[in-house]
Amino acid sequence: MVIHYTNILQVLSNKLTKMMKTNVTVPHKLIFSLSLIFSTLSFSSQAAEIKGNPEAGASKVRLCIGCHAIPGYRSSVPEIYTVPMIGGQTSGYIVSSLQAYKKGERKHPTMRSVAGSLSDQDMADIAEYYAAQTATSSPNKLK
Amino acid sequence: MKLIALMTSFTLGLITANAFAGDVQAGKALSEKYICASCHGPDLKNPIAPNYPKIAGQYEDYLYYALKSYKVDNHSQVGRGNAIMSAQAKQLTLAQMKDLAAYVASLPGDFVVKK
Repeated sequence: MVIHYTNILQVLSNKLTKMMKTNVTVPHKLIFSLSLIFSTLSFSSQAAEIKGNPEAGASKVRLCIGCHAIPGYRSSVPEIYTVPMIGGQTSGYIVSSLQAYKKGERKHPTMRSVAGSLSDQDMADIAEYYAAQTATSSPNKLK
Repeated sequence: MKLIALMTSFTLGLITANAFAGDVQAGKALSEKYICASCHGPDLKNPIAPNYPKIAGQYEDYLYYALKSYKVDNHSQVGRGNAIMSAQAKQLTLAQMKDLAAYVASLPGDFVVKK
């Protein structure tokens, strides 16, 4: 019988449940309890210590502007929709989206290849650059 | 006479019906029912956490696509998995998603399209 787990939390909690029922020694149960707690904690922490710089971001958006800076540009994968506006979006969401594309949790193929080429610092800089855009902010000076 | 009535109603039907557009008023009611503001902020552009998105004023078809993706959840090629949004989206029918998308897209937002 094969059980498909959707995340490591389920794997560990299942193991823990089984362990608690059997005569496994206390240290083993303790280690698994701790690993369960730590894996929960590790989900909430990200590379949050990196600070993004919008000026640095201005030189890193070559790969973004081809789709996100053309009004009304549309994606066709997996169906046709307008490429979302990202200027003015929260920087945290841009970073978390790029991270999700890089890990493959979000599926758009172009975005995955773009995000795969970015470092954590790049993502932070780009996110701060777009988050800072307003209706009156000046356009990018770089070509 | 009957032909004129028929043609009038047909034309009116064409004018008022739009292939994509959802109903903004129905979307507003849904937004209040599912309390989108509890995470995205009272005007849907001031989210409560730094990694939550602003959604007010985003493109209607993109919002609809995003809600559909959350409902599909994890799949090898399509869908998005997110514990909170998937739970929300799975309660919605496609028609409700269209209405919600129309409502959220109609709100004033902070989005700009710039290089």
